[in-house]
Amino acid sequence: MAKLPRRIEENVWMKFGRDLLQSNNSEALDEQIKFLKACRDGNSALLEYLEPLLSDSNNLTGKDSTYVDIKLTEKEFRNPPEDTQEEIFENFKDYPSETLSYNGFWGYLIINLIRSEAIQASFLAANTGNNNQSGLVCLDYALSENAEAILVDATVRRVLRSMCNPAPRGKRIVFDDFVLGSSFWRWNFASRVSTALDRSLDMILNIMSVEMFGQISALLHANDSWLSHRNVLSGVVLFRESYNNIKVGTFKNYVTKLRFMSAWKAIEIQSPNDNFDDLVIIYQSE
Amino acid sequence: MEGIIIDYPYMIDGNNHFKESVSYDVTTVRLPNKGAIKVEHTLRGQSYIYDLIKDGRAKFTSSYFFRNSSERAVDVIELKDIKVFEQDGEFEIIAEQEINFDFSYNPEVWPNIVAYENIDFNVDDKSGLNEIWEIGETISIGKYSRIASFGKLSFNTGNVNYLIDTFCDPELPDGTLSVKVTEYASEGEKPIEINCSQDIYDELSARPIVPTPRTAHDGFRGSIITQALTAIYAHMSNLENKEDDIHPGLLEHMNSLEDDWQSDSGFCPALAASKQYPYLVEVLKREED
Repeated sequence: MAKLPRRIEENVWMKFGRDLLQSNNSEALDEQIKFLKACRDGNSALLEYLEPLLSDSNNLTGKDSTYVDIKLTEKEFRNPPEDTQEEIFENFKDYPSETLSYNGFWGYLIINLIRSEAIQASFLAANTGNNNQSGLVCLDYALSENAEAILVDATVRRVLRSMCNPAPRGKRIVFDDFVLGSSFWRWNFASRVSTALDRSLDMILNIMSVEMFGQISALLHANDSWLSHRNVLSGVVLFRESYNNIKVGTFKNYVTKLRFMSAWKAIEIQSPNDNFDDLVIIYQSE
Repeated sequence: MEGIIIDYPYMIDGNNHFKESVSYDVTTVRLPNKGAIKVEHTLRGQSYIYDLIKDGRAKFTSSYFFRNSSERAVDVIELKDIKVFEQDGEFEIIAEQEINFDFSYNPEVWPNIVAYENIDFNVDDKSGLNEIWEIGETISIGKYSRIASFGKLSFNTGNVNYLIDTFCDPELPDGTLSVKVTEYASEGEKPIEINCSQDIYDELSARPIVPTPRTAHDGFRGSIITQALTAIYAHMSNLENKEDDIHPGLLEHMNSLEDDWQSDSGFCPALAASKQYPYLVEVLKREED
């Protein structure tokens, strides 16, 4: 029997984020500050803030546990090391993949990690960009007396993104911007390729680096979902292994040409090696 | 986008490569109380495709697309699982697939018939082909080529019907509609949304748009679509970037227009839309006469 992990309903989770992002509205700004204060005041305060969302049983669905037994530092939460990624993959790999694509599943997991003190609420606000500031510093800036509304809004958006809330960037955040989710999907696809090519998962993960998976994920969720056929993706991985100096734009161009080919050729059925050969032909014809 | 020229006879709705007696039909049903769907392929009429499937040199396949996670899967029907019926000059092959999956929603399904080896044959009266293919002509088809596709569930054919979702907005005044184009929608999503008033919605829902209008209602329905297409084409022609990150079906449709929609000048959305339904222009001409 397939597991049905507990999760927040997608529309409820989206509405929660959207309500916080209402702009040009002083009430909304007050609510944003209240939300950030809850993050600043610690796990209990954030859980108390979320209580109305979580206590309404209509907002949740599923019955099985949504939890993974890990404890992370702020740095690890922002950039999970390989062993943490492996733990997440091993823990959830048998769950229905539909569930793993829901923002509400990952949002609920983050809340459970906060509940169990596996992470601190302030981690959610950390800025890994050029500033590389800790969550507490970012929250203090946003909550300072002279903070502009735009800084408050940006901090709220960052917290929501860290909770896999789709309001700031759309529902595909789970595959790219939300690092625990994108880690899971990288391992998931690498595992399929490993089976198709009969090569070790470690070897495939080495080829399918975080950077390469970012490129693949962007293509997968735009117009090139053909890539997700196991034989096609495996052919692409073989190609990237042999031609690893190709620029991102050129790589994208080759994949698009392979998609055009799929109009008349069943690339989803031909072997990974045949797809590799077709990509080489495309490469050589440039 | 580069054009694709297929130089062998393949079967897809409306391309007229085959005689009328030859057809490929697919139905899908979600099985109650099971996380599964049943796909049934039916190939009728004598044709070269019929012979290839019967010999195991071509196979029925179904490609599945699960939209939320952009995952795809494919299933192939093997020779042992097909049923061949030949009687009194009637030819039929039926094959069923039951696909189990752990998704709560139905995938989009793209059924195909695929050549499983390199094929060479000479056209004869049993090939099932129209007169555009000459008797005695040699046809070569590469391994893994699609030789038939069932377009009904395909979302990248460029047929505009597969690109549009229609909604009723009871608050709109009678006779009005609005069109929203999300050109960057992903492959499994419909990039065009038509919101219309109740009367327009009823008109569009009443029955399908017919290729040749017989009544004022038929004409009215056609004109609604022409109006919507005009808005869509205007939106597309105003895009700064007319190639990258555009929904493939929408791009396919735009590229199929008689006029060059990517031209910086000279593209008229209203004229292009009216060419999609030339009968409307013909009707107007008759009125003038």
